[in-house]
Amino acid sequence: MTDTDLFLLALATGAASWLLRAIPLALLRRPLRSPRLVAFIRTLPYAILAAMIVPDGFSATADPALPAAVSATGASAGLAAALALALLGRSLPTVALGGVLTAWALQTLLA
Amino acid sequence: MASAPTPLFRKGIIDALPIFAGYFAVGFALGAAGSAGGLPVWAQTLASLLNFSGTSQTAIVRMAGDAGILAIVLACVALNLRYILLSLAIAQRLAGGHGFWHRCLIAGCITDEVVAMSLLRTEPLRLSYLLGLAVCSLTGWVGGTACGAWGAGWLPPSALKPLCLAPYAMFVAILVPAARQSGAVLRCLVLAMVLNGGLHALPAAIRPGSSAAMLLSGVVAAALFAWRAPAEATEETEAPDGGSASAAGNPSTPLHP
Repeated sequence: MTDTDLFLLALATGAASWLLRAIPLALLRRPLRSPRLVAFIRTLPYAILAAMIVPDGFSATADPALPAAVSATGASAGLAAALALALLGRSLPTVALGGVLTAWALQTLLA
Repeated sequence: MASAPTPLFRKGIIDALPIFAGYFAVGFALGAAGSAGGLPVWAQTLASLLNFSGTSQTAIVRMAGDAGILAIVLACVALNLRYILLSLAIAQRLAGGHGFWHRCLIAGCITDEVVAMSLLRTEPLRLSYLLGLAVCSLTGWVGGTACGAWGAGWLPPSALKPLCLAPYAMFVAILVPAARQSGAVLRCLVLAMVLNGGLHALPAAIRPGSSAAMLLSGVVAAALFAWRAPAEATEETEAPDGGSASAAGNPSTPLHP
């Protein structure tokens, strides 16, 4: 991509991201009454985040320089470490860092 | 913009400090990943400032090499459909007196973590508080992206790829406290994972695109949950006066140690 393309890309994606947030806020002001709709709205972001983890998270550390089994092992171990830290009630940065460091350590050892 | 830093604005900034730290770390990882993929520092910084969205940034980093602008914009919309729901959650909690332009500004503040943090408050939400949260979080996000993009050259290549796990580890941190609220929420999240994993295991000829599969899995799992157990979600709905009781089970707790 040229610099102009990259500039337009940043503008266009930014505008799209903002519109998605602005349209419901500016146009839909009434509280939602249906408990099912409210339950759906509350849960959908979490369900989508959950769907993102499987399977994308397990190939997140894929590296052309490494065998796929090594990066998959590293990613799995990192996610397991993140799960353990989260279950222990650690803060978000600690969980993220713990997951990354575990994946890094394992991929370095196995490489 | 708030004309003077009101106490609410300052409170927003202080409340968002854990988000700042988390966003800096995740922004750093995404910035480093973007530089590893050949994106210039300025483009990543600008995109992170305008999007304020990790999923948008992930899409840009992954697709800028071989997709057109329109395709990437469509991917960002698909990945960020959940903002519609986050915005609705905020719209229901806004104090009176926020007109169109205020709402346009508030729209720019919305991220998963900012919404989670603001829903912890029991009183109606105000622009100044949300701006405080957003200014602090956005500074961490854009600063992290810029530092990561710029600093990637100093990192050994073997350290760059593990950093790409950071967003997924962050999802785990967000999901675990939500799943702990009730068995129904846990089953919903597991179903979303199983569905998406299953869709990706389909033969290539009938497999949906990965963004479509992700959205479909999430929508089906959340719809089933809403149909079977709507009360479990309304329970942790920010009851207007149920302050600390609802805060204990609120999904925003991942940010607290």
